[in-house]
Amino acid sequence: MQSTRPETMFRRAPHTAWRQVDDETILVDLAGHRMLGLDAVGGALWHHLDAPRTLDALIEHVVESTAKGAPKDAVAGHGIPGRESVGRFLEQLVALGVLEIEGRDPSSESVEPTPRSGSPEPDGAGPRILWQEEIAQVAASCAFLPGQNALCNSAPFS
Amino acid sequence: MDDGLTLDFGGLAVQVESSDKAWRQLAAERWRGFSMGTERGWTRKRPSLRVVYRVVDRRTPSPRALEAARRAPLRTDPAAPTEIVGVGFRGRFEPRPGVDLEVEGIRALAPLDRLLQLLWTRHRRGLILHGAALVEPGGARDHGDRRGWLCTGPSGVGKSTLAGLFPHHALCDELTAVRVEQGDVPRIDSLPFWRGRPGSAPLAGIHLLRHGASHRRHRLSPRQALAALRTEVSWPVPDRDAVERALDALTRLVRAVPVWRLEFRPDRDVWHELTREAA
Repeated sequence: MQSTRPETMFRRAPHTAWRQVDDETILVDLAGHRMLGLDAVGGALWHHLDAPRTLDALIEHVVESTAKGAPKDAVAGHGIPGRESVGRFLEQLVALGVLEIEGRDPSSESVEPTPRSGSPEPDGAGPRILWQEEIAQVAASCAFLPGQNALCNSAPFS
Repeated sequence: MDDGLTLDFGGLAVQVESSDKAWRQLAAERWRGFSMGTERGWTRKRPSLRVVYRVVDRRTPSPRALEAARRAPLRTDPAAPTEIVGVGFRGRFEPRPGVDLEVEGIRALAPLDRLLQLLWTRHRRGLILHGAALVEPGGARDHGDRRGWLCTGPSGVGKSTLAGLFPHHALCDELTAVRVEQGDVPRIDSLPFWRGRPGSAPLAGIHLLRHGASHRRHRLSPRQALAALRTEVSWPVPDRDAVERALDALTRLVRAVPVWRLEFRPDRDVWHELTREAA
């Protein structure tokens, strides 16, 4: 696949927000209305994408982080991920639209996202997408015209 | 343009204006429980935020248009990145001095219902959760340090049922704002969704509701709580800064207050289970 060539540059899509929570990185796709949970290795990769990086640079970073342990200690204990698993992970993020390949129109990306939620890596080394959730709208407004929706009752309880 | 009505929206005093009389009537009816009109006698608070709603299509919206306005995802306009676009409306935050939010849309309240939530997240540290707010019994307006609880879960788990069981304790039954300031006890502020009245209280705990044959609860770890609650957040998409602040707030919240899974049957005995202190 073209996206895993050594010279391919990956960058975060601009419509993303994220936070690290313990050893998990929660990634929000603001355009796709989806949340992803990345494992520690996936999170380390994501955090290293503060600038466009090649696959080689990303692999090198993860390997270094794994070897050093701290401060990327969350990576330790997961083993050292291989090129194949890192490439596959990045492809998944590209397919989901949260990662872009420099020089390629994101809308031309034709890779279908592979459902990976909870699926173990063969080598157990990650990186992995732990879960995916659609951001559903809670409490969709009832408020339009009086009488059109029984929920639209603004009367106090007492 | 009239002076508008002033709405208590999660502790923010929001003055809402429109030149469209029919829209104003809708707003007055919809938000009457949260109107800060002087006839209620409990507010002399000056509006802190100003919202202008311009009706750009005076036809009565079709049910289809209304459904799209209330449910279609909000997005930013690539041609005007500061604008939030929904189906049938668009809004701009701080379009000019003295106006905090300006909306152009169909003759309906759904657009503003949605954008007011984004407005809150821009002005408060916290998040909006899909849940009912209940407080210990007391006065209608100022709940002081009476404890409050948030009862959350997907539609159908019993939020409105629970609020209806305790009309004197319920502040609202659908969406609640939770302020999570660094170092402070989180506070809940009621929101006008759907039934309710203005009010605020320190948050003593969160209950993830589930119908059951008896009253039973167990406490979730912060990690479990975070996973369970994230689907009950009204995420302020597509505002990236607000989403990241909401993520921070949720992370702090599940560490600051106990979160329980509560099974209950619809009777008033559940109050004891609901308000019982953590062991």
